Amino acid sequence: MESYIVRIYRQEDARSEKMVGVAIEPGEDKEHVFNNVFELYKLLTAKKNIAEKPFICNDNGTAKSSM
Amino acid sequence: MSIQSNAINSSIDERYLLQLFNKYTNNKHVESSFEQNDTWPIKIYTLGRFRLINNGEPLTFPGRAKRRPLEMLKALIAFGGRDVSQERLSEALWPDSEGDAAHRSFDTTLHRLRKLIGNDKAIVLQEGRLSLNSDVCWVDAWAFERLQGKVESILDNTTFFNAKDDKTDEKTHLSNNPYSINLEEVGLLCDQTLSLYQDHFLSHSTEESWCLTYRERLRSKFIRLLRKAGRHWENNSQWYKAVDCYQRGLELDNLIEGFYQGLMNCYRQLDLNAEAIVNYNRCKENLYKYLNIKPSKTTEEIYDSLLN
Repeated sequence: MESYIVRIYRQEDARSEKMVGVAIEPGEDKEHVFNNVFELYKLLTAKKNIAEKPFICNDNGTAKSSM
Repeated sequence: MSIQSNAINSSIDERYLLQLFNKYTNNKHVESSFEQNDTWPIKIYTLGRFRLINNGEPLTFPGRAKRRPLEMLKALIAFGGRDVSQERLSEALWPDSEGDAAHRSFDTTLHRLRKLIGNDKAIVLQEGRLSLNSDVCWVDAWAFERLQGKVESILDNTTFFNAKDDKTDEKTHLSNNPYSINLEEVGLLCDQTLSLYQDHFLSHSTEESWCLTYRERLRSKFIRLLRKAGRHWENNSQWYKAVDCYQRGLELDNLIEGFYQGLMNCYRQLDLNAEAIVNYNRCKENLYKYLNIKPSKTTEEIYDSLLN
């Protein structure tokens, strides 16, 4: 599946690149931990056919930061 | 009786809830959320086990023949249920079909879905866009979203007083405030809203990518409401009610540190330090095991206060 669910569990502030969370591959029960925005980017772009510029959402679904 | 029906047909007078919401929100959409029992012929349950009720009778779907029409209904809800383009649905349901083939599949499946629901007015196709008729269909996820927004706004904007409080002057003063509400009332509103969320959106019926965005959005709203409700109860020294919210949150996701912090705070206030320490240890263990991080400074400060 080409979709990911990204959950951020810790971030120093809204603009910080330091963030800890998991990227989940639905249906495959695979969870990848990331420790900063660059690791997240790497995870999300590992499969070539997904969006190249992912954005991170707040709880309400609005974009928090883009890459 | 199912859990959902229990929540809906509980001993709580829905008219009373309706009055409460009208009192604090003055919003007609909220009104429609509670009038479930009589107003809508079709009720669709998506939070947890998928169920379709027509005039009080649960519809059953034996065999695989109904799978496609039901998928169409689920996708329609996942995409918002209103003015969903035929192309978007076709792409989700028949990603490998193109042009006429996709169009034919769409028409056939829509015809079968209407037949299956048993109400011609339930689904409207207009200018290539499909909608669920909200005058005919009630959807639990939509009701949850509407109520969640209203309860959150009440929690954010109101001044609370305890109905059992004998301080008449204070009560009178707060009653003059259009947004004041008593604790029992807000408890009722929170409980009813939270009870709609039985499980994640279509959690037992599909893992298709088209349902994930909506599932995550609802999950996020549910967690946010639990947080706010927990904080509200803490602010009003209703420790056990706050504990319920935080525990429910951790059952959903055991990596949300704020819920552990809330639990530790509540148990400390209840002089149940051993319970608080147990939760600190759970927090520490889970954060390390799944995220390879230590508890935050805030968590450590709460823990230190338990030891002193």
